[in-house]
Amino acid sequence: MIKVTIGTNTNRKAVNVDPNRTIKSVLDEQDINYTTGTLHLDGATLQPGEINKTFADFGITDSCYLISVVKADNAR
Amino acid sequence: MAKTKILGTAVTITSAVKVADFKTLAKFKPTALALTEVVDGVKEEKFSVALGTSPSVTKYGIVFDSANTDGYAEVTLQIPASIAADKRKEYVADTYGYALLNLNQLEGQIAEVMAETEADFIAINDGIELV
Repeated sequence: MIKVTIGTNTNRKAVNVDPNRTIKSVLDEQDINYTTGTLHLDGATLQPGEINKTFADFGITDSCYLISVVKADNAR
Repeated sequence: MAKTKILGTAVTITSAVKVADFKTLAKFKPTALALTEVVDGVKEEKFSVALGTSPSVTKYGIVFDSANTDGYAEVTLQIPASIAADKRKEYVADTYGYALLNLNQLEGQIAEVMAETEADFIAINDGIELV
């Protein structure tokens, strides 16, 4: 079991999850909208398709941060 | 209370809760599968249990990946071969002690919730009429 701090820029919470679950299944379970922002796993941007990989696939065995960063339009 | 057995370089932790009961709670009362604590005014999961396909025992929880012949959830892990036979018990207590402590506490919580859930199911079944 790993601890995942999950959320958005402004709203985060910590949940314990099976490291062999996919990132997508955890985001869905926690009602995190990942369609409007950029997903970051421990600060690194997730690429298309990586959302269907498991935490274990990324070598996470203890804890991590999974944050959906929503950017405002004024960032020019 | 969970039981821990060391056989050679393998350690097996057997829960006092059956796999079927884990499945029932995961479906109807998933919050019962986690111990919670309040951190900075926010309720967080302290320790959780789940059923999965690969074993995992950490300070955050346990993923049970099998069941014994009586249906109780089990997880089997390897002890490094470099640990001498007489030091394995000490290794297990040191490495998994915190998780086992929390597991015993969580099993107590689960037993209470299961008793309530069974009563709820009896009430639900009584309310279903087959016409």
